[in-house]
Amino acid sequence: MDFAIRKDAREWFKDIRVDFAALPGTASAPDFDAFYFCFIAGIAAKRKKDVPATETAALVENYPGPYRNRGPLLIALFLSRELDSLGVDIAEKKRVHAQISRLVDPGVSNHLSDDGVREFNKYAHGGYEVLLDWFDDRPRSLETFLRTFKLRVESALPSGKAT
Amino acid sequence: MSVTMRILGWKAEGLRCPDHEIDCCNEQGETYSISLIQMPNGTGKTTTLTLLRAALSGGAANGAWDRARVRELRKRGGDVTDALFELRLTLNDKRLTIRMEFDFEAGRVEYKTTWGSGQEEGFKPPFELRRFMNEDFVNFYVFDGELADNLLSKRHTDAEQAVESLFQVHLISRMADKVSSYWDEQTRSVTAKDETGFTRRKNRLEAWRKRHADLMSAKSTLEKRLSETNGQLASQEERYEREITKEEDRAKKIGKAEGVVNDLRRQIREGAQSLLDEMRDPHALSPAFATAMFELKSGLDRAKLPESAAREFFEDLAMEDACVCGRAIDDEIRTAIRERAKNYLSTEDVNVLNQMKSAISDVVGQSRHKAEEDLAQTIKQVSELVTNLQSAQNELDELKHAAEQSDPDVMKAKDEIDRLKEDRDDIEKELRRFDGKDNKVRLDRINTVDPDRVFAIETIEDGIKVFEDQVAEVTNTRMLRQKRDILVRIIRSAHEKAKQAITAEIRDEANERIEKLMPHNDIRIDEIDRCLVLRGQSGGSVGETLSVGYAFLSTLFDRANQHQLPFVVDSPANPIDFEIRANIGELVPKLTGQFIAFIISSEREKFLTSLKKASNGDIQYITLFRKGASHLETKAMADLACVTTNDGFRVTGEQFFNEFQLDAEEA
Repeated sequence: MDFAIRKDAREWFKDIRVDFAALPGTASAPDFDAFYFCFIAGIAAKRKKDVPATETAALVENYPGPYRNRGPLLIALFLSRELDSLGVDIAEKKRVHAQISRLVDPGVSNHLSDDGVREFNKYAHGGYEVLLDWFDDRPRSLETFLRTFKLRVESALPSGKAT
Repeated sequence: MSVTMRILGWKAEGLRCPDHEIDCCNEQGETYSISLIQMPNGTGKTTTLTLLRAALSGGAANGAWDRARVRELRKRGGDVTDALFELRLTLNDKRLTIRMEFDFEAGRVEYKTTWGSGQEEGFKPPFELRRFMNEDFVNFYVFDGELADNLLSKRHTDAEQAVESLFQVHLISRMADKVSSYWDEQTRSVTAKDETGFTRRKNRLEAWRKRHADLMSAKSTLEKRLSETNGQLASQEERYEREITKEEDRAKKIGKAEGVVNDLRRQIREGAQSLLDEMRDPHALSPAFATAMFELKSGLDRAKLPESAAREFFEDLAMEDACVCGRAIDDEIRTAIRERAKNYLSTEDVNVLNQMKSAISDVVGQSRHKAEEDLAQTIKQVSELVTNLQSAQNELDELKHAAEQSDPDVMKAKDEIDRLKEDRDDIEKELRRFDGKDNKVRLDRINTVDPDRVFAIETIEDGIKVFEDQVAEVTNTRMLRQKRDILVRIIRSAHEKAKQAITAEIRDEANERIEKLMPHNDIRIDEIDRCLVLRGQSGGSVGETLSVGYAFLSTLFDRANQHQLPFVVDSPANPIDFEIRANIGELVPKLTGQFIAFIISSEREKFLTSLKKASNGDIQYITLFRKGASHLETKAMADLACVTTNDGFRVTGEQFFNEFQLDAEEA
């Protein structure tokens, strides 16, 4: 199953999409960058949303370009938030097992099961609505967007702990 | 049907360029593969190119050019009241003539088209040529440095659209229209269960469809206006630059201030790229994320997860007759082992978890704050640059403001820019009304909604689906409609995939060409969308941009070899470094069957030799310059191939062409 971005979210990023470049030698992944910022906003604000497939655009199954080595960290952040939202204590081995088996699929290139990708996408879909709350208008310049985004993430999270 | 278009020549009289006639054919009446027209700057190259584009696109037809724009083309210092530009073409060996008649008093241009049965009023090219003879497409084969820049700007061109037109990919989506019409036909012929209900529903559907068509047409008109306004804005900005830099002292000060601004912009762009890459690390965004990840790892460690034994060990054990401790394994024990094995993760799961834990250790094992502190430092640097840019921009604005106050020409250009920007903003605002969905419209109460009050196109489309459903229900064609929807979805997906596959192939081939043209440069096309999106950068130098443009267009023309279009270029090699010029010269003859270039004398170096070599000598040389502007007049008049017009000279031949040394008109 592919990661998917809301079409309206993709549109929202259109003015800075061209600036979502990668470092030399790495292929850029502008839509995944947009998806990533939505995902982080969703995680920070603990907001998930289910959106019909017709209103989303499939991205890629694997972590592209600049995210290739960051996949395990994204899974870590996702699992941490998901276990917390399900009220699973990390010490409850059996429940942790069950959730990991549900969300993780080592046979898939992104290491997430269909259920896992579905839940992952929900954070990104909900996160787009968080971005709409955080920003008065769609971003027009990359440097302004990034600096404001960082400030908004800071204010959304209690200092030191995401969960 | 395949199309071969050739430019036979053109004639200009009474216009801003010297009166001249160009014939691109050899003695046998065949067009030269390459026609080089040497014109010093200031002779009217831009005017000639504008006229060629207008003649090929009908861009000035039906009053599209206002009086000022028409009068801008009037011959300078003269009192001509009318003028003429006539372009002669062949379409699949059949003659087509487009004539533009200028009336400067009225500020009007009238077109006349001669094709087949005779001359007709207006711009009326044959149907099969229309997709190549419109303003958007002409820009791809009548090309200059500015248009190369535009290829990289989504405001100006639609590269994806050019691919669609050339390869006719849009025909796939026309199949979807046909399928939809079939369903409409069926609903008409089927007897409705309830005639009154049927008519009411059908009328509502028609009203919503009409609204959809009206909105689409209004949107398309606005998009065209937006593109024209952007074009006018670009030329006014150029005019502003010309006016503001005409005084040397002022030009120096402004140039210096602009240099500072541009340098800071570049630094900010680079800083933002580093910032973006740091922010791709989630643990850098907040110590809270770093802590959450670290606690996940610590928690898993405490719970001894993943275990050292994986599920597969117990599954294998269950197949043995005896346990590792030596005791026998019967069926009951076997079932228990298998059942409890499910509490262990598989080897692969274990690997994923270990990989994740190791990645967490690497980035936040030592400190949960370090990455965030580094990010804060980068943000501080970018913020300082932004503050510096604001100061530098203020300084530049003040200089420009002072120039505007003291020079009415600058002020006039500024006012025009402000007006055009206001127009552009208004159009963009109007266009935004069509975007997204109208949340006030509830589909469950759609029967009470007046479609004429809805502007969101997506909402209208949703409404149409509801009404189609209602019509399908009353006509018992629901199943057929579902089939139609599936078929339409398949066709649209095929259209999208075909487009993506073609643009991806063109991108890859164009990138190969770029590599050949500029072997020591890593500029590449990342994506072909509305514009060409460059990999890792938003623009390049003039030479790079032009080379990318050539590579893209040559691939495009090469791939669509069933259509042969002429390729007209202004200054094909001027802004390009010497070592790349030779590569461009080799590429040009392969671009298309007819290449017409306007060049200046200093551009010949390196370019001409390789061009000549690659074209087997099938080159026409023309030199065109204005009377009274050059010491070369006497030499020109001594040449047998010299033709003198009211205000200019045209000399054909290679020797004169090569000996001519004049980049710009003499004052």
